Amino acid sequence: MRLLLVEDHQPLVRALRQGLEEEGFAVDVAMDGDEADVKCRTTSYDVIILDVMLPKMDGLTLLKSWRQSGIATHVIMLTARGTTKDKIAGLDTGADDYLTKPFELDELLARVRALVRRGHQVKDPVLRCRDLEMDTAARTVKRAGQLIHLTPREYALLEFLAYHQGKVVTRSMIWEHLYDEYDENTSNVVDVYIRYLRNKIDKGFETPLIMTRWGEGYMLRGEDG
Amino acid sequence: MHSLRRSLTSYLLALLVVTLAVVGIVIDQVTGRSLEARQTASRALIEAQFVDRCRDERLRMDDELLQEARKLGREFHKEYVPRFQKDFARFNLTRALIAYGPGQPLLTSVFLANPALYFGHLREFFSRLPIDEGLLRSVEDPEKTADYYQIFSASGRASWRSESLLGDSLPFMSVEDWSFNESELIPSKEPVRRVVMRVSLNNPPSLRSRLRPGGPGGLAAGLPGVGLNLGGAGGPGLGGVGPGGPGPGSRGPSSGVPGGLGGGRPGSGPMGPGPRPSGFGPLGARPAVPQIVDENLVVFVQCARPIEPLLARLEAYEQERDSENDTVAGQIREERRQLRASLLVIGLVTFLGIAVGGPLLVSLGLRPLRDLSQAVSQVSEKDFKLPHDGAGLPLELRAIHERLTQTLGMLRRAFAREKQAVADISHELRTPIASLQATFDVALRKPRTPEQYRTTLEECRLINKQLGQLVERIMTLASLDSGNDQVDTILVDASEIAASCAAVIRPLAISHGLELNVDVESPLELETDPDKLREVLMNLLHNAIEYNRPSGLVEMRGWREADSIHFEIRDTGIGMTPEIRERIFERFFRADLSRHATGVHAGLGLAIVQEYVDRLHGTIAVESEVGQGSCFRIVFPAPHDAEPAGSASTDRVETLAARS
Repeated sequence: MRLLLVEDHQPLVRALRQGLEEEGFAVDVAMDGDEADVKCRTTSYDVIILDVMLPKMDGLTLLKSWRQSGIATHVIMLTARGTTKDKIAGLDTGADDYLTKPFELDELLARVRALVRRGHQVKDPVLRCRDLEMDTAARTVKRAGQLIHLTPREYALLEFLAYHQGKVVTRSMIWEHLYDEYDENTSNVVDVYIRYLRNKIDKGFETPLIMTRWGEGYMLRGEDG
Repeated sequence: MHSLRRSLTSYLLALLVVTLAVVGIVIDQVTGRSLEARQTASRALIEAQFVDRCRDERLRMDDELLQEARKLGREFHKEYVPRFQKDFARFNLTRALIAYGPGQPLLTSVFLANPALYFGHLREFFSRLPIDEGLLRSVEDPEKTADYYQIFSASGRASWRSESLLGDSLPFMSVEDWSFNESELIPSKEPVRRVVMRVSLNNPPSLRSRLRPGGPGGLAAGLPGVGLNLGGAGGPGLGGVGPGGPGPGSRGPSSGVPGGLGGGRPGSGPMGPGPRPSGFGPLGARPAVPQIVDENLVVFVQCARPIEPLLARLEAYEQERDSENDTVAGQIREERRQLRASLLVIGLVTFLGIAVGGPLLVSLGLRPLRDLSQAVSQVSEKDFKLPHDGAGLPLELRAIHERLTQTLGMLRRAFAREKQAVADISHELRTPIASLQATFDVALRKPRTPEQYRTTLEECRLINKQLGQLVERIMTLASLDSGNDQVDTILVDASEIAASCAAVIRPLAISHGLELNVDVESPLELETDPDKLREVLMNLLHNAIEYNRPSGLVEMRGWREADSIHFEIRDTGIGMTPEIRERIFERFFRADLSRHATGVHAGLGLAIVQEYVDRLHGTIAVESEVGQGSCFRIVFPAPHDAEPAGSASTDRVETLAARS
C-alpha cells in the first residue's frame, strides 16, 4: 500500500518513513501544504497521513479542498493539538481518523491498516482466499495452515492482490501502490516479484492462486474463479 | 457599611425637610403680614365707624339742644316781650333823657358822661324782671324731661328754671351768639352739655337756620379728640354766623328788620363770609314786633342735657368697637392658627409621602446601577462576558460600562492569548517529543545494527537539542516575567559582538544562498549586557535569513548618532503586512499559522528580543513591505562618557571578544 506522509518536522519524517517502510508500505513525503496538494492530486494513495500544522497551507484547509474536489482517499490527521475541539474540527472537515502527538508507532500502524481495510470495504483483518490466510495485523501468511515467510515487498504485493482478489490488477496499479516516488519504474520488477511470490505461495500447493491475465495483469484467484 | 440608597434617601429627606421648613416659614410670614394688614384695615374701619357714630351722637344732641333752645327762645320772646314792652316803654321814657350812640335821643347822649349810671339802671330793671314760672309751661314737653332749661337775664341775677332741673341750676354764662359747652349743675354737679343762646328781645330766634359748625364754642370744641373740619373754612369769618345767619339753610322772606342795627341780610353763598349780622333773621309770617332798639336787652337761654347717658352710650360704642376689634383680632389669630395647622399638616403629609415614596424612587433610579452591579457579579470566569448590553444605561454609568467591557475584553484576550500560548507551547513541545517517540519506536521494533543504533541516537540527540532550545526560550520568558532575570550592563564595544554574531550566522546564510553584509562602526561603545545583545542580534539575523528569498540580502548595520546607538538588520524577504507588523512582537504570535521547517521558534523569538531591548533601555521598531523585505531598527542610549576605544577599555573589550 502506498502512503503519503505530510509532515514538516524532519526527524519525525525520517523516523516515520523508516517505520512505515519496514512495515511494507511505500511512503511518499511532502514537507509543506503545496507539495502535498500536488502529490495528492497526481497519485492515488491508499492512506494519507496529514499533519495539521504545515507551512504554506495548514492541513485543515488542504483537507477541505481535497474533499471538495471529491478526493476520497482516507486521511488520518496527526497533530500536537489534542483538544476535543481540534479533533472535532479535523474529523468534521473530512478526516477519517485523528492521532495526537506524541504517539507510539504501533498505534499509527494499526490505524493505517484499519484505513486500508476500510478502503477496500473489508472488515476482517484476516484476509482469506481459499486456503490462504493473511493476518494483516500480525503480518503472517498461512496457506493450508502452513506459515509462509515473505519479505516485506512480497508481503505487500500479496496483500495488494488479496485485497483485490477475484479482480485483475494491472502492472501499473501494482506499481503505483507498492512503490514510492523514488523507486525507479521498471516494469520488470513487478514480474520479478510475482515470480518470487508464486514460488512461496503456489509452489507445493494444489491450486495456484496467482493468476496471469495476459495483456492485462495479475489476479489472485477468488472463491469462484 | 452604608448603602447608597439610604444615603440618597436621607439626603433627599433632609433637603425636603429644609425646603418645607423654609417654604413654610416664608408662607407663614407672608400670610402673617397680609393678615396683619387686614387687621389694621379692619381696625381703621371700625375706628372710623366708631368715630362717626360718636360724632353723630354728639351732633344730634347738639342739634336737638339748639333747636330746643331756639324754641324756648321764641316762646319766651312771644310771651315775655309784650309784657316787657310795657315796662320797657316806661324805662325808655326815662331813657329818653339819656342818649347812647349816634342817632339816639338827645337825652341819651347825656348818658355817655355817666355810663355807670345807665347800666346800673339797666341792671336794676332787669333784676326786677319777673320770669313767670307758668310762663313757659307750654314749652315743657313731658317727653323731654331729660332736658334742662334755664333763662337768665343779662346780668344773670334773675332766671327762670324748668321743672326738670329739680332745684338745680345751670351756671350763668354770657355769649355773643350761641355756644355749646359742658358744664355741671349746681349744686348736684351733674355733668351736662348745654347750649347757651343769646336771645335779643328785639328779634326772636329763627328756627330754620341750620346748625353751623365752626363757631367759637361750637361743635368742634365739644367732640373728643377729633380734628374734624366739617364744612371747610370755618373760621373767624364764619364764627359769627349764628342760627339766624345766612346760608343755604335759611329761607324765607327777608327780615322785616329795617337796616342799620337790625341786621341786614347778607346775601352771600353757602360759606361766604358776609357782613356780620347784628341781629336775627326773619321770622317768616310772624307779625312785626315793635323793635327793642337797645342791644343790651337780652336774655341768655340755656338748654342742657345730662351728658352721662351720652357718655354711657359713647362708652358702649367704645366697648362695641373694642369688642369688634377683639373679634377681628380673634378671627385673624384663628386664621393664622389654621394656616399654621394646614402648613404643618401639609408638611407632615408631604414628608411622609416622600419618606415612603422616596426610597422607592431612589431604588427605581438606582436600578440601572443595581443591574450593572448584578451583571458584573455574574461575569463568568470562562468567557469574561458582561451580561449587560449597555442599552438604556444612564449617562453616568455608560462610562463605567464601556470601561468594564473594555477591561473584560482585554482580560479575555489576555487569557485567550495565554490559553493559546499554552496550547502553542504544548504543541511546540509535543512535536519534538513525538519525533523522539517515533524514532525510539522504530529503532526498537527489531534488532538493528550498531550503526543503525548510532544513527538513531544521533538523531535523538538533535531532537533533544531542539527541545532544549525551546524550553530555554520558554524559561527565559518566564523568568523575565517574574523579574528574576538579571541584566548586567557593562561598557562594551558593540561592534565586536556584532562581528562575532555575523561570523556565526554566515554559514547559515550561505547555505540559504543569501548574501550577508555587515557595516558596523568601530569602535561602537555601548553600556549593555553583552549576552543579551548577542541574543538579540542572533535572533534578528536568524529571522532575516529564514524569512528571506533565495539569493536575497541580509544586512546588518550599526552606528552612533548624537546621543544614541543604532542597529539595523535588514532583509529582502517576504515582508509583512501592517496587521502582522503590529503584532510581530507578541508572544507566540506567528506570521502564518504554520512554522518554518528549519527551526522551532514558536513565535517567541521576537518577544524575547523585545523584552531584552526593553531591559537594555532601548527601543525596537520594524519597517516592512510585503514582497520587499523587513528592516528591524534598535536604538540604545549612548553611554555618557563614551570615549573612543583607547588603551583603558581595550582590555575589557578583548576579554569580551574572547568570551563571544
